[in-house]
Amino acid sequence: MVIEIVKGFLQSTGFAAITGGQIIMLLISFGLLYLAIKKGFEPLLLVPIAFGMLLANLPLAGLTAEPVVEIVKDPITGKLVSKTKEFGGLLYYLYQGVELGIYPPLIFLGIGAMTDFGPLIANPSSILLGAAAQLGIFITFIGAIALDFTGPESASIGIIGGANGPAALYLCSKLAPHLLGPIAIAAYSYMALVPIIQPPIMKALTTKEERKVVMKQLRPVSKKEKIIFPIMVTVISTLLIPSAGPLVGVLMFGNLIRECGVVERLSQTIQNELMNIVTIFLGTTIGATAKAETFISGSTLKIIGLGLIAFALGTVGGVLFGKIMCKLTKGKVNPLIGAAGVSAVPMSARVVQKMGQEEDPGNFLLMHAMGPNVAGAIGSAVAAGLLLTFFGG
Amino acid sequence: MGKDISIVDSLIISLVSMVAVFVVLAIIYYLVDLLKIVASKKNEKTEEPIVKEDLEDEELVAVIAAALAVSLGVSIPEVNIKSIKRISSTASRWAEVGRREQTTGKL
Repeated sequence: MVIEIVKGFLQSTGFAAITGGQIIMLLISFGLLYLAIKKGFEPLLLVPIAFGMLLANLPLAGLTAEPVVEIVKDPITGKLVSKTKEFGGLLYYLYQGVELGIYPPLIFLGIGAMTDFGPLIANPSSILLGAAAQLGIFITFIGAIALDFTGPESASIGIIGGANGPAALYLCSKLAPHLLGPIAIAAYSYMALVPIIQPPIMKALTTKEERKVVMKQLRPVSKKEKIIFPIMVTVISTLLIPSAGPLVGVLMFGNLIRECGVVERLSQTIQNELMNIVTIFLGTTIGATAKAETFISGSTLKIIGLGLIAFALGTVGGVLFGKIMCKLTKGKVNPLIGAAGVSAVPMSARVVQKMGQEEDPGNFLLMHAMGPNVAGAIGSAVAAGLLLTFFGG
Repeated sequence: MGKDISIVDSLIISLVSMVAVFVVLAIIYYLVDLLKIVASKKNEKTEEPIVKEDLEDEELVAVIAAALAVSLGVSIPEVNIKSIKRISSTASRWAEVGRREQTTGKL
């Protein structure tokens, strides 16, 4: 009798139900937590992601369970009505924000409110570097097709190369939701690894003289320009590529709130509270998509490999275009700033600044790199919109 | 567009998209360039502060002339200043702060 009760209890615990795959995922989440807490690697994102992963891979807790709805006959009226049998877990509901494409535009809103487009307005030609760095997206897209991924899947994998987390999530949730886990984790981890991935590529593609180029100081940008800019970009880009509207439009909306100067309270809320709340929900639920059943597979490894290629090629595209601009302007543009064309704001701009100073300690490239950097955010949102136009229908 | 597409299709899509990204951003580039003209036209009124800056510059020249005269041990009219150029400092911020602390400590 006692033995049976103990046995029953033991079988109801997670220990009896845990699978090998789940144990591996738990170990990965411990590793990520270690990196985030002890090593300080992107803790704002990695702590929620790692803990979401931890929660989703503990068996029987049902945090990610879907609600179960039954169609039953109402005993009184005799009509068929739907009745919720199980309500589903917390993370299931939070996840709807990813699946329905709600969080990524909200994050874009926050990025818009935190971004100063001044360097871009002062030096508009740097916007082309933000276009060139999207090269990685499309080459990786071809590579993924060659590796037998379907069209929508390949598009979602390629977009990792935009180094733009929310754009990648948005596209992936629309085109290939079953790959969200690996793609989100690849995109966000490579963004954290920008200071390691980019410098060798930048060094290999440029000469010492090119890295030493000092750029002219940017002109001051008037408030009027800063206010017209977001309105103009929204109208133009949404008319040209309507499916880029949700991302570019919201990014520019956030920026207008920041620059117009009459809604300071809204601007503060978007930059701080709203952004933090969405980051918590987003991080936890992305982590929770990394369930052992779907995560541990050959395609995850392929995605992680392709994602790295996408990132590297984006950097290559940006730097090469930077070299072209350097030639055309007779040495007025430092090609290093092209590397900042992959968005990853502001990390890649900082990498450029650091590399420039290694060659010449008096060279300040940060503000020049911010131009292509914020252009990259627009560029990758446009690229996501285009891919959505091709595969969304 | 179907789900399974060939490499050729993907090449075409990539090429079209890459060109489209360039076109959209190039249009924004030209419009932002136009923006500069519009904005600078209406900002012509801001001449006053520039004049003020000139005055401050004269003051600065006077200060520098006086400082030179003292350190060279000559009277001010004997100091001929042809041009004053600001040299961008190559020292790091830390070194600058350190130097400033040193000098203020000795005062």
